[in-house]
This record gives sequence, C-alpha cells and structure tokens, in this order.
Amino acid sequence: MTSGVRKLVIAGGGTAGWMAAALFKKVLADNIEVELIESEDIGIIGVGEATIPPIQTFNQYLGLDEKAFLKETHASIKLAIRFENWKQEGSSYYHTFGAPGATLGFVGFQHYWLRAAQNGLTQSLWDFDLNYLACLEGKFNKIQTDNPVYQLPYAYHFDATLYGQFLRRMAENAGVKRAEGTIEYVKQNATTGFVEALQLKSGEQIAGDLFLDCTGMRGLLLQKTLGTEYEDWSHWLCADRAWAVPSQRHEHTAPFTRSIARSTGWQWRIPLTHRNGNGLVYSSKYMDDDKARELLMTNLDTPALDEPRKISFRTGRTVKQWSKNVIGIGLSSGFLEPLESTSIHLIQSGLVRLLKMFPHKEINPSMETMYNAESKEEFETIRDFIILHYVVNERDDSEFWRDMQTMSIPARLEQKINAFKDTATIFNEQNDIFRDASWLQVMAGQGIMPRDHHPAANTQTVPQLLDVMGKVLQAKQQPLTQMLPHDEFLKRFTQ
Amino acid sequence: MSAPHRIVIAGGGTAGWIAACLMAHHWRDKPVSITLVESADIATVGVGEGSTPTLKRFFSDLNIAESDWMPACNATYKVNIRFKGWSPQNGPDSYSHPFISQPDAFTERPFHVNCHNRRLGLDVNVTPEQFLLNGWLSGAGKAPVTPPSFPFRIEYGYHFDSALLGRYLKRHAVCLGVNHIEGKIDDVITSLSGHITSLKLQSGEMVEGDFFIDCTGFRSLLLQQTLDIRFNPFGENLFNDRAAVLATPAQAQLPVETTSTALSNGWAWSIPLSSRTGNGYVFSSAHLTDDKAEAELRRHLSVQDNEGDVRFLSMRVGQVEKHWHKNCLALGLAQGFIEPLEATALHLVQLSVEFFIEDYEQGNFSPALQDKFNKDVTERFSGVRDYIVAHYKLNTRDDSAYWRENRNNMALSESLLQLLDVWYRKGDFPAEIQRQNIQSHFGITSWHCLLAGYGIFPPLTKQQPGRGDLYKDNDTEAFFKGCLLNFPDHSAYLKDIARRSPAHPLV
Repeated sequence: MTSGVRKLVIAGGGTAGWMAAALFKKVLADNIEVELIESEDIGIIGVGEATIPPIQTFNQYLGLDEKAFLKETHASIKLAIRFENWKQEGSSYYHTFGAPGATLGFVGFQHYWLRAAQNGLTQSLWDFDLNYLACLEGKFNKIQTDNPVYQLPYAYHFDATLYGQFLRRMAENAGVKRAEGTIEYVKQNATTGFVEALQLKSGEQIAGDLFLDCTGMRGLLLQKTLGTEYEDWSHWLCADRAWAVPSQRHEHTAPFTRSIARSTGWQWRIPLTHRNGNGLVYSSKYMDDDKARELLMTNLDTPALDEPRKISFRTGRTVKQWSKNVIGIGLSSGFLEPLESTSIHLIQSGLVRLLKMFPHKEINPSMETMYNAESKEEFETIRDFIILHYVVNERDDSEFWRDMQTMSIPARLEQKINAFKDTATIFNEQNDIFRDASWLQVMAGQGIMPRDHHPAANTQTVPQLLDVMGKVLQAKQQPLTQMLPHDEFLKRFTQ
Repeated sequence: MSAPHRIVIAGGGTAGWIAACLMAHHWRDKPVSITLVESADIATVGVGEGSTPTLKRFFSDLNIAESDWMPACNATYKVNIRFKGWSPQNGPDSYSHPFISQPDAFTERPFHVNCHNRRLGLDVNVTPEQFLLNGWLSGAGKAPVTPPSFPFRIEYGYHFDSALLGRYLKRHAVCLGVNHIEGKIDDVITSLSGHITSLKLQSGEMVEGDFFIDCTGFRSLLLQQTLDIRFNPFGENLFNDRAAVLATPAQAQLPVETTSTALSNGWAWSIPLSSRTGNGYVFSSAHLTDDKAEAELRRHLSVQDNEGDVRFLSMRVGQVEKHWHKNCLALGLAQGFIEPLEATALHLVQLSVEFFIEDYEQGNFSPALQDKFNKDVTERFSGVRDYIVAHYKLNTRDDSAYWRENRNNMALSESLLQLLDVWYRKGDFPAEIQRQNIQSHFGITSWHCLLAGYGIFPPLTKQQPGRGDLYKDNDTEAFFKGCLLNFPDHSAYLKDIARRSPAHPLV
C-alpha cells in the first residue's frame, strides 16, 4: 500500500456500480484508474425508482444535463409521497419535500399552527405547504427563488436501470474500463487479508488497490470474502419480501409516489413517463408469497406489463461497511425497505462519504472507523424514521397492524415520539437526512396531535396570529399560477 | 350488369398475379374482364418466400396440384417457424410456433391447461412443439402429407422462390383468361368525382376500367399517390425498416421449418428452398448501419466477405388508412407491410383479395360493402401487428440498446395490453382471447406458443404435487410418435413429386 491508491476496482454494475464509476472518475479524473466488472448473466435489482432531493446535487457533481437525464431515464418529478391507509383505512397524508408554513420566529411553524388551530383556524398543516398544493393540482415548475416560502424542492422518479446505463455511457467516455464476466474467486493477501485481485470465470485477474463491493445483497467481497457481520433489524422491520411489477402509465403522470398500506405490508406506485412501477412489501411471517402476489396484482390499477418479480431481503446493515480495502456500496452495505425512497440516496451518501475520506497514500484505519460510525448513524436514523410509520397507526383490521402498534422500538425513537406528543418539539439528529419538516409531517400524518406547543408561539394576540396565518396561506397560493400541468412541464422542459 | 365489368390490375408482382388468378377463377361465370398491366422495367421486391397455411387454400381453390407448382418454384414444405435466441433469460434456447393440424384437437387443450398450471407455479411440460403434431414433423424432418389411411387434415405452408411463383401464377392467370398488357404506367387519369377512369401508358395507350387494383408496391401509384390515401406507419412499436438479403447453397436435408434467429439489432430468417437457402437480416436502420448488418449476417451464416452479394431492401412498415377507396383497392406493399417474422405478407394479400371478392360480389359490384371491407382488413393488419409486437416487447436480450428499447417500449395497443395483463394476473387467458374475438388472427394456441416459448412464467412454487402434467398423463409422446409413422421423409418426398411433375415452359 505504500505506493498509494492508484486503482479502484468496482465489483458489480448495477445502479450502485455505475454511480460509483461515474462519480470517482469525474472527481479524481486521471489521478486514479477505475475498472468495473459486471456480468450480463447476473440481473440487477434496479427497483430504487424513487429518489429524494439530494439526487440533484449528485447529478450536478457529475455535470449531468437535467433535460437529457429526464428524457433518457423516462423520469418524472417527485414532490412528495402520499401515504394512504397508513393511519386508518381510507385516510391519507403527504410527506412532501417542502416544509409547511414559514419561519415565524424562534420555534417551528407547527407551534404557531397548533395555537391557531386551537383558536379557530380550519386549515391543516399541509394547506401551508406549496409542495402539497402543487401535488393536489398535479402541477410543477422550476421556481428560482431564495425565499423559502416559495421554494418547491423536488426529486425524481426514474427508471433505475436506464439511469445506470446513462451513467455507464458517461463513465466509459471518461475512461472507466469495463470488464465483462462473472467473478469466480477473490484473491486476498495471505497476511493482511486485503483483497488483491478478482479472478473472472475466464481466468482473467483484475488487480486493484481499493475495491467497491457493488454486488448487491450477495455481498461477495464484504460478506462472502471478508466475513463482515450483518446486524439484523427484522425485529423492528419485519418485511422481508417484495413483489415488483411494471404497469401501464396513467394518462396524467402524478408528481408524487403513492405508498398504500394493505392488510399486511404496503404497496408502492411510482409514476414514470413510460410506465408505472409497482410493488408490494410484506413480511413472510404474515403472508405467503402467492397471497402477496395476488394482493399486488388485484390492486394494480392499470394493465400489468411484465411477470412480477420477487425480491427477498433481510433488513439490517453490514456492521463494517468499510473493511480493510473494501467498501460496500448499495445493497451489500445493508437493506432498508423503500418506504422513504432511500436506496439510491444511501448509495450516493456512501460514495460522497468515501470520496471525502478517499485514501491517498495509504488506507488509514481511523478513516475506516469514522466512515463506519457515520454510516451507522445514517442507517439508524433512517431505520427509526421508517419504524415511525409502522408503530404509530390506528388500524385495527389485522394482526399485522396490531403487532406493529405494540412492538418495542429503539429508545431514541421513543423519546422523539414522546417529545412531540407532549410538546410538539422535534429533535434533529445531526446525520439524519430527514429534517424537522419530514418528521413533523409523518408524526402528524400518522395521527399524533401534540398536547401542547412552545410558549414562544404565544407572543402575538390571537387575531394577529390568525392574520399572519392568512398571509402565509395567500403567499403559498401565489406560485401555483406559474406552474404547468406536470406532463406539460416535462414536455416543454425536455424539448 | 350488361356490359362486362372491367377490372384493371396495375403491377405484376406476386400480389398482382394472386389477385388476377383468384378473381379470374371466382368470377369465371360473371361478366367480368380482368386486365393486368406490368412493366418489365420495374423489378419486383420478391422476398416473401415463406407462407402460412392460407396459401395451401389458394392452390386448392384454383385446383393447382402441389406436384405441379412446387417443383416449378423450388418449393419446400413448412410446418412451423422456429425462434432462436429471442428470450435467453427466461425461455429455452429456441421454441417453435407450429401450424395447427387436426390431430392437435387431442392436445391443444392439455397444452393450454399445462400452461395455466405452469402459470400457477407447477413444474409441468410447456414446450409448444411437443404438444403439436407439426412440431414433431419438424423434429423428424417429415413432409406433412399423409396416405389415405391417416385421414386427418394437416396444416402447413410453403417456402418457395417468389420470382418463380410470380411467373407460374402469371402463366396460370393468362390461361384463366386474364388480359396481360406490357407497359409502363405514365399517368393515372381520374374523373371529376375523383374516381380512376384509366391508366395512361408510356406508349400512349389508355387502359380504361371500372375498377382498379393498385399492386405497384411501396410506391402505391394509384391509392396513395393519386387518391391521396394516408399511410399510417407502425414505427412506434416495430422498429425494423431494412433487410440485408444473402442466399446460401441448399441444404442436403431440407428442414420443414423457417428459422428466425435473433441477432444484435433484429433477426435473421433462414428459408430452405430446394435450390438454395434464402437468408435475410431484418434490422432497424436507426440502430445499425448497412455495413455492420452485412458483416453480422455474414458472420451468422459463416459466409466470407468475398462470397455472394448482399442485397439491401428498405421496408415501409404500416398500412394505409383505407385499403379500398372509391374504385381502387390496394394490395401487397401498396396497402401496407409488416415485417415477415410470421410470414404474413402473402397471407394478408390473399385474405384481402378473398374478402374483396366476397364483399364486391355481395354488393353487386358496387362500393356498398366498402366500409365493412376496410374494417375487416385493417383489423387483420392490426391483429398481425400485435402478435409481432409481442415478440419484441417480451424479449429478454440484453446485448444492445435495440432490444432494451423494444422491451421498454410502451406503445402497445389496448388489445395487447389487456391480453398480457390477463396472463400476468393468472387470469383466464383463452377466455380473454375469445372475449376480444381475435382468434382469427392468431389463435389461442399460437399465443400460448409465444408466451410459453419466451418462458413468461412466475417462479416455480416450493411445494410441487408431482402430478397434474397432462403431457405425461396423456402419454402425448407415444401418441405423436405413432402419428409420425404415417409421414414420408421431406427431402425424399420432394424428389418424388419432382419426378412426377410435368415439365413447364416458364413463359
């Protein structure tokens, strides 16, 4: 290792592999050689079709042209997730990428809203959220403003396989080498255990200094070779299967993902411009595979376009996502169900973290420690956010949902829920990708109505407060006039 | 009708002569005169070397014996099409789509049932060609002809040299009294009402008529160019628009099937004639250059660069808005074209002529049934299109953007969407085909061949009862092996009928 890190080898060419190849080549350019090994015989999971707003930053790093990207990946705009039947059968709420209201003082908007609601305000929290209002009208436009009141944060729905191919072309043009073949043997250093080379079925050996394990849930390098431990979280998140199937697109492309709770598990519906992505996430403890397949297929609202595919998984994380000279990116680093569309984000944040700590002359063990501590924190906060959706529900129609209500949950999450219940206050963890507004929408949406609000929201008289609220409502309505129907926007923007 | 009704056919390719023969035959006792104008200067496209069983009906309607026309056209029998490499990730390496013969009455239903059980996750035999007699004939290299002691109707098509077939039909048409005029059409004359009144030839001669049939190929001189009927392209879901053609020597043992092999940006046909093997690579020019197509075709056939000439054809895929307008009917390439994946080119010509003869006569040689005719023919084209589109939509190749774009293509007809939806939902697939009433294009068994051949099934369930396989339960193999004893060897049989055939002066 004294000669420094000169060659990066990426094992696996799914979404994770090509995102990695494109990013490292772009940032490190000729300082490093990048080679990716993939096999046409091994399918990719490629279901992470919905994203969250930081994907824009990632695309900007890469210098992707947004128009070309939207076109090539059949992408649509995502402003929110609509959670249906989660609180009760028939109920729904949105988790938007926006934030309700405006900054009105020292404390969060929800405190002012709570006080106003107790004093005659009839509008919901969401009526103050531009993303929500745009979802209702099925509209979008890119809005240039520094005023957070008018901002409309967005992410994308896209075809993950096409995104991978798009990045592949880009990476290959930039000089990333691609080797076709199945990895048969991982060659390690006899004393250090560091990976030295990957041997393909053809006999070819690909040597490198640093290896990315993008082999998916198999975890060929990290788990199979280095034997890193996997921390199982299925006692909190018991879903272990999904069926996924594409179906015909809707006449109007919705600018949001739908997450629909079913008697056991939940169904996603992701609108792309050429088709919809659908899937059912469930637990094999509560429902057998055939039943689940049937539940999904009977709840498709447009014609199916393929045989459904079954995906099995174990929720949890690889304890040492960085081990020796191998870093797990993508599903080899752990699995969290796609309830909050975090799969692609976790790839991205792993890559950015690694890039920040990228070894130059040698692999420093404290880098490994810091990397693993940060990723642990990130996985755990997302995990807690997902558990929140399950544990706070008022459904009484199945054993599954009743069990969810009574499960014991991580202590930190419990504190967070209790604090909100009692005081409407939301505590932020530093590495939590989901900020106040996200926690607020999901906690309120799942049915928690705080008992009290912060005294700082009491400084105005009630008429003054209601007047301010009215002005915020008006302000939020204003940008809607500049927006276009979603499909119209996509058509015009990509022309 | 007092004065004879004058029908003028413009163009003498296969379509023109098929129309001439059928009309002259059916209207032999009617006061109808038929004239065909063709120019020796205009080459015919003349691919369409494979047929469906519809062509068998054509020859039998005209009382033409196989021993007469087959040797004259270097023809061979065709009992199925074999598809290789279309679905490498799900399906077997190849599967065949056989024509359905009468003995299949015993096995079609078990095949559907097995497919249904396989869709429910049971591990049962769903190999199309093992359930259908023609699949066995092809496997054993047998000609589909039977002695009187095996009195079942066997369905089959043919492979033939289409230039020779054109010449054969021309001679036959002339015998039936068709008036043949040699000359190049210079102008199409219309009346104030927009009807065609005559064709002006380069010689100055005027060929007048009451009804005109446009067989002028892709140019469509009459219907599209003169009467301005719109052409609706199918490019949104059928990408192929070009073919590279190269013949190779005849095979010693003549297969009884067409082979269609998926290549990087399209597919290659292999059609065995007694004189040569016809090969062609149908591809999308947006995805592949001519040079690359030629190189790939040569590689596929193991033909050196200096051997043989590759000919290129452009294909205009789609159909006209109206096949019959005013007093003009378009046939063949002038009415539309669908790539020859299921050998439907002459099939659609023949059906159009048959429908026309029936409707025109029933309407007392007036346009009374024009709308009905146009609806029927348009539906036929759409039905064929859907079945072909399914071949592309369902592919599981990953070797080029072409195949991925086909897989991701969402421009599907409502009919095809519903059909696939019922399949994926494990619904009653045969009932859906009946509900849509599309079995006359491709029947229930054909759709099963396609979907089973592509391996469009869910994973096997963990618990297998170990029974319920009708292929085994009914001892299907023994049944077909018994049937096979009645059929002669294909190559030997063809030599035999060639010996019995009278020598033909070829015009």
